[in-house]
Amino acid sequence: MSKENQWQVIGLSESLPADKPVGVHCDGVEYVLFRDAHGVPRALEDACAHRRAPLSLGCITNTGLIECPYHGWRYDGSGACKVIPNLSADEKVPRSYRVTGYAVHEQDGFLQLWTGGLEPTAPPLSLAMSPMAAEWFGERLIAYPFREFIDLLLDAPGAILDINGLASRDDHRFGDPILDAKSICVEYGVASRATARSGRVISDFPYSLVLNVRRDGRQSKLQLLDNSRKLLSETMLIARPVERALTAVKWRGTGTATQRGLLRITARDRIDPHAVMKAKDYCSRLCSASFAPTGEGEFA
Amino acid sequence: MNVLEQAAARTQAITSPSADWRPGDFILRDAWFPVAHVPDARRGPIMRMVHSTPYYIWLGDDGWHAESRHPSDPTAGPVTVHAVHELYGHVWVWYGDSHNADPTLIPEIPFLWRNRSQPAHARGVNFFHCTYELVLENILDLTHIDFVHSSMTGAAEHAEEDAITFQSTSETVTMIRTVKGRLTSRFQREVLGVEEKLQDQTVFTHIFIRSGVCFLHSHYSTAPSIPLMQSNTPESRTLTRANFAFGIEQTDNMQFRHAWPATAPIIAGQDEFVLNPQNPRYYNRPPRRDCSTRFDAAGLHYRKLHGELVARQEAGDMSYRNDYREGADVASVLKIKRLD
Repeated sequence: MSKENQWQVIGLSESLPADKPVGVHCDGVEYVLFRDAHGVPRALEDACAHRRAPLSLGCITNTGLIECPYHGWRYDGSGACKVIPNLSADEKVPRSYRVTGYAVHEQDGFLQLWTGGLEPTAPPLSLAMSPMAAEWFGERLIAYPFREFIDLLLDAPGAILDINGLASRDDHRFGDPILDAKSICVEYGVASRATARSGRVISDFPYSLVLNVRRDGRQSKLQLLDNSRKLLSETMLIARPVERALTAVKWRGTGTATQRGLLRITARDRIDPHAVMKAKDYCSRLCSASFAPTGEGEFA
Repeated sequence: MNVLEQAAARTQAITSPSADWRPGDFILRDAWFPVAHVPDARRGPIMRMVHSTPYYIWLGDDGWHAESRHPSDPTAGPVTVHAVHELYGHVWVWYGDSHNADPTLIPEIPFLWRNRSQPAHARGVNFFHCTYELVLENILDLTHIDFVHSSMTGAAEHAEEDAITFQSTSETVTMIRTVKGRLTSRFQREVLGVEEKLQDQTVFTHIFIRSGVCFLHSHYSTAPSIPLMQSNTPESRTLTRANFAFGIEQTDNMQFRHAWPATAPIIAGQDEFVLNPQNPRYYNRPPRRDCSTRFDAAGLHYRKLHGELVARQEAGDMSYRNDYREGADVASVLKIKRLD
């Protein structure tokens, strides 16, 4: 569990509506996200300063404040309590009445939260992707522990990823993983699903899947290339531990149409235990010593 | 270290109950708990928990029994025999030193019959998945009604007057909220046919700190009301049993006598919506001071009295002070007619 202040990708832009707060668990901390009157995303600790009821069960007022469901205390985007119902006109809300606020950065369709409060001391993560004709996004909550999820992504991406009509051959890596200070890069052969799973020998793969996984495992850029190294699709996969053995996974991808259609890379809704049994812990074991506990570093 | 020793150790670490309110960390002893409605217990043996201690209750030829083991359990070993008493349609068990189990310490409930149960439609049980102190705070802080239960009671946000007073003994807290110009509720308009848009309201809540027993009553200028007794028995730090009984005899409106008790599960569900997630935000979090307003005065006083009781019990004083008996008659406070 990370304790250092950092930017965490905690959602997709589409997952935060204008009229409703959303609760988010991240590394054992509960946050509430909401959009203020200008549509700007805000994040606060998800416990009212009064009696700690979760603000995420409340509502957004017409003035863009978040209202606690229990006694109606209302907070602005910085966490300051602005309204306490039933007080008379000459009663003011004390300035010290507030909850912790967190900076939120919205870019490239992702919401990032600075875990250290309202004043970030590092620039947000770069999550930009190659612009292509089509885009997609999605999210899932997967009943699989985060660390093991990332290990499996590196060792057997086919157990986690779904590529339209295609599948990675998880025992066929193109060379050993490449480790640098910021990430680990590994490439797998990809073929049609029927071929990849047939066990047939494949001399020349028509596609390859390049995984570029950040050192802490929370951000992965997945690229599908054809055998001329042309980029067909690209997906930014965000993973983070939630509670107990749950991992929250969000993705956003772009791609171009091929003869097989759009080759979207997405996360499966469940992990096939047979694929887990077959997975060899080669990449994860090789890389485990180099994984950093915190999310420092970005892709080159 | 047993549960009581753990609680004592945690108590040592507390310097001020309002600065570091840790509901569920303290076990207050020597109190009567109304753990079962008599008709339920007659079907016994039944099991009830008080502070994680099991009580097996049944009615034998020689009266009520409450013991630590089921009468059919063949397991050898010592059995603890608890003090047990039937009153106001409830079976009361004593938690603490049974030598101190004086039945006259059972609270007077002036709106329930001393020797019979309320009819089935006027009694029941709800559960709150939290420690009982949070339920009592919820009951003492009735501004939550405006947000959590407004469909049942109407909203008070634009009331012309809203004042809260409280009184207490060493063992009880009574909160009185007076609201003028409160909106009538949907329930009052649609079920009771109330036509007025605004009403005046006086709400009473009376809680017993050790046992969690509470009485609630309201007086509306436009509609009848029915007092409620709710047990709020602390089964554990994450579960409170709320056996309830309505004093339906306080109104002659037969439709209301049936309709209002039927709302109990709805209102309890609304409270559970906030109490359930509130609970781990106390026991799973580092200490911090809650912010409060004058509307929390009764709740804060409850925390203070609770802390004083804890301190006394930590020092070995389990006794009840004289003011407990002197303040026992709440019929005049609740402004209700006494049943005999």
